[in-house]
Amino acid sequence: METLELQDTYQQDSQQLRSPCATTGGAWLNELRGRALQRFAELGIPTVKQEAWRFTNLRALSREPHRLADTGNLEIDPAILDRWAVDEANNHRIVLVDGRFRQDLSNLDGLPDTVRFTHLAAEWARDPKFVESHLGRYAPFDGDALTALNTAFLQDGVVIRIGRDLRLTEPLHILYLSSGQQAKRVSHPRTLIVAESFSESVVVETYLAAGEAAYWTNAVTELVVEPGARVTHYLAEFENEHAHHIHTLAAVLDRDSYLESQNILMGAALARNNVRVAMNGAGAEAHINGLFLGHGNQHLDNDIVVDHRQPHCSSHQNFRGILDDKSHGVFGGRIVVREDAQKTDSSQSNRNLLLSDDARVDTKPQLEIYADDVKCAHGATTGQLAEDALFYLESRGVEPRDARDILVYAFAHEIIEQMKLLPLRKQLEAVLLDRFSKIRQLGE
Amino acid sequence: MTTVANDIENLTKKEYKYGFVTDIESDTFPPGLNEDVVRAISKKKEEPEWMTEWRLKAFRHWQTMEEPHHWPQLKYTPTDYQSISYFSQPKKKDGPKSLEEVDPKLLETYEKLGIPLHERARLAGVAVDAVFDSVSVVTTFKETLQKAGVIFCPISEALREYPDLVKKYLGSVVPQTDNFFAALNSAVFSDGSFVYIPKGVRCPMELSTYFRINEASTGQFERTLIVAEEGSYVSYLEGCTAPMRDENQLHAAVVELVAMDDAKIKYSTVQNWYPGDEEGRGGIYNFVTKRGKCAGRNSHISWTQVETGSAVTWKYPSCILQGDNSVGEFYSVALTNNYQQADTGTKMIHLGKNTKSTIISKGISAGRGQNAYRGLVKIMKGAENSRNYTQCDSLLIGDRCGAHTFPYIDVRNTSSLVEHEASTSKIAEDQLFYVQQRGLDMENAVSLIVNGFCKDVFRELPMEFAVEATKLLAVSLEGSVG
Repeated sequence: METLELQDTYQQDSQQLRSPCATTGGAWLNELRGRALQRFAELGIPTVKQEAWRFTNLRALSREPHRLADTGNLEIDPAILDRWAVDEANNHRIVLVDGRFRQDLSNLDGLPDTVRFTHLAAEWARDPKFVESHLGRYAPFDGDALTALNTAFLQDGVVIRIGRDLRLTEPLHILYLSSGQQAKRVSHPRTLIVAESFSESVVVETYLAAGEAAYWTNAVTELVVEPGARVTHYLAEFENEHAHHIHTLAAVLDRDSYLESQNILMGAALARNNVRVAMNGAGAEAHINGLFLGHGNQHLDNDIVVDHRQPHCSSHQNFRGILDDKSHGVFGGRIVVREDAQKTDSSQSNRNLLLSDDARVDTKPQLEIYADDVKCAHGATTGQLAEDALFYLESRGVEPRDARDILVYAFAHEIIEQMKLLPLRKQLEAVLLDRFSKIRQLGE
Repeated sequence: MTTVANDIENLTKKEYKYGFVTDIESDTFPPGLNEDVVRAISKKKEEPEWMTEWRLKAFRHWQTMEEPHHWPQLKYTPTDYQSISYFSQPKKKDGPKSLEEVDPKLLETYEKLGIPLHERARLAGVAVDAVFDSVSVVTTFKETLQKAGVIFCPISEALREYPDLVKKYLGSVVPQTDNFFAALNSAVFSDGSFVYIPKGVRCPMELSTYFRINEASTGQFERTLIVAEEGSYVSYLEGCTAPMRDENQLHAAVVELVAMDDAKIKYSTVQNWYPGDEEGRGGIYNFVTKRGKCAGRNSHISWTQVETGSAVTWKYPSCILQGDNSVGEFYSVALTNNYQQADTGTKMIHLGKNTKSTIISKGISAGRGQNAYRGLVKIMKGAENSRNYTQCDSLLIGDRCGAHTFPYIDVRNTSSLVEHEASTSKIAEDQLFYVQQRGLDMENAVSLIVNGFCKDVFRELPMEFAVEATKLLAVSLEGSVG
């Protein structure tokens, strides 16, 4: 019964979306949505019986259907958004509230002509061919129910196109804000980033909430890095702590391209961050880093798959987790090296810090290698603060709680310091310090 | 490098050294499995009634289970469980009392296998409980062991002679309902070994079982149970070879170990069953459930395995570290050549305080072999100050093989420390060059490097096994340099 009800809701909502008056995009889009909905109906919400979801339970999503969030033109205090600004001087930002573009909050001016930075609906109207040739090509949904669901509800989102040879140093900031006014609502943000040959760009996706309701964000970002291009992508997840957050980054790297993917999970009751990187051209390079900070009853899950399909590529993953209270951290990392991907250089590291006896970490760093001339290594550790390090600091007159904070901060900082975007680093450091002060207040 | 390629081709095409079939008339059940077959096996073994019920419970549960297909990194033709004969025994109804009474053909088989039972056993000080297909035919050194109070006998005999002991421990580590293959084994196991070391006894010799599969289309379902009482020590060796076959043969054994306070069990395996031909036809399916329980304080269980045979190897010798300060160890070398596949590793479940575990796994893939390490380290909340160290390395020889690592680490307290390291690489050309430059041929150079790669594990093997393992590796691998 439950499943049927679930399907009905999504069916209805999707139908509404496709009704003639609401339609954006062409017939191919309707066809794509239809196929995706069909696929979602077949797959259903993943369960812990599936290996990839073993440690992350989406019961709350499958128990009750989530209606499509629609809050219209809700009044939003720009201060909420400004707090997370990543570039105060230029502030190129696009804001979507519950998945809908908000002109009044966005700032799309002042960019070179060869940069397209707009919302999906607008781009459909302007250059449908371009959208059609990219959208849905990099995030397959055959084996992924949630990407299927996102695709079924394709309506608005963000399109970024960085023109050939352009070096754009100013970050492009995407803010997906959930109104958080009503519980059991879902939005399906979709982002498409096309970095053309030899271009260079920085894109930041920030997820946050205005209210405290338990909503669900089901986001998919498609990223294609054409030959020789360089992209730095940040995911900053600061959802409210009742929310479910699912994010999939599907990146395809062409010849000699470069991707830096920084992932920060801080908010949400349950967050699952899928990073799928396909090394599709020889000589491509990917750096995937992440920091997840859990407290309370948070559940933070990172699931990384790097697929080496071509020779001479390198990929490096470095994830760190700090888990306090009853939080549960998960890291799943997989490196696949195909038969022809000789000379692959790949590494994977996951280190976790448990600050409480009720916290828990599950980590599974995996290697799947079908070629022989490769260099692959992975490592994982889970432990606590080193006693000798604590002792060292204490012996120099540092208070025990300060010593602890310093070490935790240093542990997190090894990821933070790799982020080149200073304003974002400052935000992270502030959140970290804020958490420490909370711990301290409780202790006193 | 073309000569090298030729070398590889020649060497990897080497025929299976131990391939032959001994023709001994067998007392074999017709293929098929139902409750009557389970009852008949039990009856044939003259088992007590509770045992028949025990088997039936397992069988009924097995019928409700599904063979797991989606998670292992293995591809194989599923077994038709109705086409297997579940019992087969060499025809000599009254068991032989001495070596002279043993069927000469059987002895010949052992000769070919390089196990001269009468000589080697004595020389090496090894008591051999030789299992030929399903029935234990010969047991040596019983008397010496009896003096020490050690029980070492076929499990069917133990069921008759020491029913209380068996009843107490059988299924206590691997319950009948544990997994698909354990349930099947519990229902139809034909024989195996039972070892009981009384309190404070250090077993005077290394115990060893050589068993082999002989009857065509007979699945072999071994059951081994080892109980080490307080303060005792035992080292158990298991090794096997099998004749050449075209059809896949299923082997689903269960091994249970129980270690009480201060007891230590060392379990070593050299597995060299028929791996199939170079096209990947035939070969043994080796689906084994092995688990040890460190039930007492300061208890210690150590698994060492060298897996070179079988078409498909699928096993995870595990330790449940229940007693405080208990120690679990797992040392493994798994080699896959041609179309062989292995999905092996271990599980270390830390329950007691100050428990320690070490995992050293070496995987070698050659030809089109697929080798996967899959391991779980789980530290429960009460397992304070626990420690795990895991290292799994893979060596790739040839560009069409695969090496995979799937560790699962689950930590639930703040005082424990878990470390996992893994690396994958191919045989270094400079090392090969260096060794060849000093006059070794390609074949020996590879063998030397691979042996060096596996040294950490071989060091853990008892002497006789270490020699055999080194040889086995050389034979299975010879010259397959990429």
